Amino acid sequence: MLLKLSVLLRCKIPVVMFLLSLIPLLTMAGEPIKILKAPTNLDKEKIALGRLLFFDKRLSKDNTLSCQSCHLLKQGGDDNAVVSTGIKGRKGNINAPTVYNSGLLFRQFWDGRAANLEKQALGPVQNPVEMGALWPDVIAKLLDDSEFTERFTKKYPTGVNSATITNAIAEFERSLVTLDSPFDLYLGGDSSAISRQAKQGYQLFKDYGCISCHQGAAVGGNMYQVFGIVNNYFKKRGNITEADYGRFNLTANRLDMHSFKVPSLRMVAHTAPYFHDGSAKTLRDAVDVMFEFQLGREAPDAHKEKIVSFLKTLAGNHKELK
Amino acid sequence: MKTSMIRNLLIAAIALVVLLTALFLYLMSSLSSIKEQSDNIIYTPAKFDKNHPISIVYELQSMTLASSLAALDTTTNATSDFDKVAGFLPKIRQLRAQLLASELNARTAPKEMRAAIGRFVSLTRANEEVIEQFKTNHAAVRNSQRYLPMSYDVLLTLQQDSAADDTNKRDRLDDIKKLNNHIHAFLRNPSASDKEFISKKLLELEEYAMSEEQKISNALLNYTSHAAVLLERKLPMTDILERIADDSIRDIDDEIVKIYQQMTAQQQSELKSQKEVLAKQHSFYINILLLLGVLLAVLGIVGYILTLREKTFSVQQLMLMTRQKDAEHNKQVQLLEKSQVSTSTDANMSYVSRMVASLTHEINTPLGYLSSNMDILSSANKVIQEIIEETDHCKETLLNKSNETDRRAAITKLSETIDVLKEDSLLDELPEIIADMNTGVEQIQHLINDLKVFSGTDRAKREWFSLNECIVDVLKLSSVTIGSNIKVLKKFADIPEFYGSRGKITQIFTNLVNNSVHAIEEGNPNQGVIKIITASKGNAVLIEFMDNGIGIESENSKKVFEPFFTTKDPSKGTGLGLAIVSQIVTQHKGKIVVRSKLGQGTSFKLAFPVKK
Repeated sequence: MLLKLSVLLRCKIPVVMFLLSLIPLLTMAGEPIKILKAPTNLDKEKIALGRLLFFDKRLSKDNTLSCQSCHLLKQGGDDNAVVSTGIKGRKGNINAPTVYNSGLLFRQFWDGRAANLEKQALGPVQNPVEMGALWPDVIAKLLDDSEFTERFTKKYPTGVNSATITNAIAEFERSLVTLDSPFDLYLGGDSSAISRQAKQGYQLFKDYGCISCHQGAAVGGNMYQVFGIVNNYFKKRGNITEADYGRFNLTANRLDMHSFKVPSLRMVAHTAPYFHDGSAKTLRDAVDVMFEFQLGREAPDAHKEKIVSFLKTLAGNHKELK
Repeated sequence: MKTSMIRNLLIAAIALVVLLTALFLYLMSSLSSIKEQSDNIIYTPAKFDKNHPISIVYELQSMTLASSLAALDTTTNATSDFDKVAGFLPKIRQLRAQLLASELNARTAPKEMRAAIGRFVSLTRANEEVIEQFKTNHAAVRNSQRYLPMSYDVLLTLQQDSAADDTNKRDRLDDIKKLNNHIHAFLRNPSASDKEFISKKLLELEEYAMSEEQKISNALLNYTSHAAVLLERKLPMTDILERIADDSIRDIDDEIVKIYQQMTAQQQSELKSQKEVLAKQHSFYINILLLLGVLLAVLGIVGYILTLREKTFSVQQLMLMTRQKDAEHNKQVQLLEKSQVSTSTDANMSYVSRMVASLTHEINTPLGYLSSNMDILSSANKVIQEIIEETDHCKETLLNKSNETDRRAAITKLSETIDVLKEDSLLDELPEIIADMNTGVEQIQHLINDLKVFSGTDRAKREWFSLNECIVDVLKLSSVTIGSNIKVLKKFADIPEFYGSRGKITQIFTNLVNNSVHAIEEGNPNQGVIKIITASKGNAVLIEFMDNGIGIESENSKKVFEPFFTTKDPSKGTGLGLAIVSQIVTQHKGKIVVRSKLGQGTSFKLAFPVKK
């Protein structure tokens, strides 16, 4: 009996050990950052119409601005300004985010007040410091253009209205997914796609806990987080505006004070300055702020530089970008 | 002549075919529509499709459960996959919108259903908010929980270095150690009271940090910041976990499903009663439409006979043709009769063949009278024509010719012709022949009348009358049929007056008495007894007709009320008698039951409700 047991144990132990050794392998199977994939089920004609509208200045009151004015497709999908300039030189109160990969974000606007891109697109047209128009005027202007109206109503039988216009624009925006970034190629198995520096940066990004918020296909954009969760960013920066309250403006929940949608890091290589207030001029500045206020941690410069070089590998390609 | 006959028959046949097809299509379509309805309503969770409103509830439930699981999963995973969580929240929203727009939430749905859906929607909506908070807090707690021990270690090293020869600082160090233990206890089991205590201590520590040198101050503040994050975010997170794991969503979901089941059960029972009503209507329509078809066929034949009577030419030829037809007809009738004899005991004998056999015979017999007498009539007609010709000839001769021999010859010829007619005794037979033909026509009229009564198309007027008197009248009228060999016993109770059609009730009693007489003639011709009892019970009058005749075989006793069912020779009955009785009884909201034993006798019990 005893002999039998010992034989059994001797046989089983190596097997158990082997199985245990597999566990880390299994957990490694899922990287917290996912490869961006080309969107499916999009309507080509809607995208084409949306592109026309995206560049259409008739969407603004004085026909001077289009979506493209602040979301420059060739410059990474934003305007590289602290805040954007609306009609008649009016300044906005928050940094314009990139329009690339915006279809992947779980909510729209910094405070997440729009559930989808359609609802987002409704806003800027009527915002007095942005395009400053009224939807009925915009629609009247578009209806004057018989060529456009004919093409548009062919696709949208309900005609030219704010719902169909924003749907077309949103469809175009959903097509703006940046593919084949060096980092995605690396995730896909091409170990030479990014430098050693960047690979170490990715490991540090995970180890320091940046990954707790910046993860998923968009490397962010799937949750809210309080800006200055560990140390109070706004106290140090000063000059607090209503825009700095973030989600608190919507929920009035104490825990939502200074809470914002975690931005996607996919296009950070092209979209300085950073944060909702546009206060970080370079990626390195932004990483410093994150370490100080979000992680509450000091880190060697070398680590931060590696993280920056990792961040620069995240941007992919799109035909509108070139 | 021929074409008019064919036209009549064709019209009758087409009418029959059209009616039967219409009936068939109507039945099929209404039955299939009922089936469709019941398929829609019947609650079968296993097979409902994706668009079924209740499946939205199920999907929502599984989604909210999935969300709970995914969120819980992230607490144990090294890396949280919030893409997953973020991905299905819009799906939850979409399902919720579908649920709100579904028929479950429509105005026709019960109030409690709409209330339950309202609670379900607000709970899932709250859960969605809760999940967002969870994601935020989880990420913050995850990082600070890692950094707190690290900053504690830094702090401890720095403090120990400087506290070596300072008792104040040593005390402070002990305080920090105690606080750290408190914080760890709080992290294991967060509570609001601990939170208050620790946050007070943390404030003290922060104040103290101001008085310390820069290095220690920084380390202290770093420690307190991480501790503050944990203090602020850990408690709501456990709260959130509890709320996510809450069963209330499942409970409400169960409630919705239960109310839905009740709704469907109610609809089902309504549908069932609808089905029963429809089934009754259907059997009624079948009878009516079949009878209409038969009537049309009869009318076609009668029309054909009438045209025959009106036409004066080529009677003989017609007679010949009719006879041939009759021979064929008789052959068919014989065949049918044969098959009826062999299958009359067969329980499955078809309704239609019974009907056809009965009707063919009923029409054929009087048709026989008519056609055979037609023959005689036509020869009489021929003789009369001859006489008329002779008379005309005689008249002409008498008027125009003065020659006596010619005149005499004409008169002699006329009288000879009349003598031949007299010798033939044809004229004597004519009244009898006409009477026979009348009988034939009457029989056809009688049959049509029966069919009319059976189909319920004749609406007799209703009045108050005594049932007892009515029975006595019937017995008087039927005294010839009953004869002297059958004894009739009456046992009448004092029953209330009855409101109904006296003529029709009379017909019931006449038919029942006739049936008894026939049964006695067959079974017990010498000691026949008919017993009639009336009684009153509650709101009903009961009438019983009993006889000691041949009785009915038990397997046939259920079928006696079916139209065209008869065990008698087809010459003795149409098979409509008891069907008519049953029809009239039903029209008067009464009931009739038959009890019988073969060779011993039969009893018919009738019950009618009495208006007071």
